[in-house]
Amino acid sequence: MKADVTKLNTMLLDYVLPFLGICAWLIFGLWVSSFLARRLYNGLARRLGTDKARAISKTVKFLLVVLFVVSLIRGAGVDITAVLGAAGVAGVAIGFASQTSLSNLISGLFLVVERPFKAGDWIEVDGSSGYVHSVELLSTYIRTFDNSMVRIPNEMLAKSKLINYTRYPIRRLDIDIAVAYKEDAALVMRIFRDVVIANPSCFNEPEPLIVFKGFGESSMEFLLAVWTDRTEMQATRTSLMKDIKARFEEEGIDLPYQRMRMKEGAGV
Amino acid sequence: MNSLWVRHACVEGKTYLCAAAQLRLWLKRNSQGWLVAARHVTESLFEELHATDSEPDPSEWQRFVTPSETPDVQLVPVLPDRPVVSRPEARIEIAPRHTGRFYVTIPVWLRVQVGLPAPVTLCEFPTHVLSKTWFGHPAEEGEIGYALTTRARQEVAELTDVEGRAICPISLENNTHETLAFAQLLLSVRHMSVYQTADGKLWTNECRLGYTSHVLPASLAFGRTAPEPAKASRLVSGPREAPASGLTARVIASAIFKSQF
Repeated sequence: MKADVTKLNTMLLDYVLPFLGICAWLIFGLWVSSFLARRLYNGLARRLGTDKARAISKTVKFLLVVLFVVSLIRGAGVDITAVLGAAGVAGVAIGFASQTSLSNLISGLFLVVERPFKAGDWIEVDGSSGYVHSVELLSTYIRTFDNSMVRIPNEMLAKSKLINYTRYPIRRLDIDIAVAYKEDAALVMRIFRDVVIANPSCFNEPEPLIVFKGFGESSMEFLLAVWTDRTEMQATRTSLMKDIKARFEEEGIDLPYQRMRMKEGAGV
Repeated sequence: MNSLWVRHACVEGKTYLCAAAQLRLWLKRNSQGWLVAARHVTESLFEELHATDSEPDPSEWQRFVTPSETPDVQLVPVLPDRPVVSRPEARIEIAPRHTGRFYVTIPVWLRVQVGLPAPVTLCEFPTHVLSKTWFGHPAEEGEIGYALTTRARQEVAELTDVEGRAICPISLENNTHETLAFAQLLLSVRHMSVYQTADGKLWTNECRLGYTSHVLPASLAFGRTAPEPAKASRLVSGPREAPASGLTARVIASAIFKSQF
């Protein structure tokens, strides 16, 4: 019985208490790293922006966690040189395995420095379009217009063609309009001009562009290009289309429809 | 016109209507505050606030919960919330080392204030529907403003049809040795006040622009009081943003002359 108690005591002293100490140190380390990273983020966010602040604070947190783990290993009496040697060998293996992650990480750092977009911008990458939710170390999150979250690896953002729709405060709205061949092209263009002038959302500078593009299969084709506030693009498109339709009806101008001529008889 | 900008006492539960250029404004006082409705029409008309039986569509009312001890409402003329890009109807050239003085009229906005004498602003509406425009190159720095075509009148006596507009006296100093073609300019109206003379005309502070080179931005200075032709006027609304010293640099940078592109 006494031997069992002694054995239990030894086990407690040799294994359980050190294990609890390691756990406590690890929890403390994680808490300190998170706390400092959060303070750092709050301090930097206002000056550098949320994207840069997040990248820096996460890097600092990662380094702090590594430091705590190294100190833990040393505290446990393990020879750190041997561990590092083993880590070197393991590092090669891990390096091969984590090539993609490293590439994403480096691409993420380039994105933070280059800033082709920022949180809140409307971007389009590889068929995905939406508002940038956050730029993380390995990936960027986009909230699409139908409220889905899309995770795009930073490497893809660095390599793909990226369109930022909110880079400039104004944008050109291009509307293609087809009109029946029987109509007077000059009158149609005058109606476009009147409608644009009457619409307060359409800028008068840069000047709107009205182009007679060409002769289509069953209609004359026009391009109406107006400049507008980027935040009013869709509203301006809708109001222009409504106004053009109303003016066409007023002036008796026909919108074209697909025509098909059928012949019957011998030889057809 | 004079009576549009004076204080009105409104009876609770009664609807009031006024017309200021293209704006039609309805007001109604209830036990907990005010109801306001606004609509823009194409026809320009000026009518002081008066009781009416014509009500706007119920969905047009905006409700404001305010202290309701005083029945008074004041309609205040203020300058637009964005800069105004003013372009003369005809090309104007200013000789070298010469100063041109012009009067540009700016359509005012109507601010609804209640709870006098400590006023609470309910809302603001433009009296004219102005198109927006861009001042600058599309891919470079610039500013969105309201587009305005001006006759750039040069005599005070010519300023007759200015109802619903504030007259802004502008001095353009051409400090170069070349003729200056005045194509258009950006007026930072948020730094200007509105004054009213006894005849009901509205004025802004004087705006002095000094052109030194086509590369450098023009210097810009605002008069601190009412302009010379409106010396006996009273201040009706202050600037939206006081022209502070730190802000001056940005104002100067934005006050550039440019040719059409």
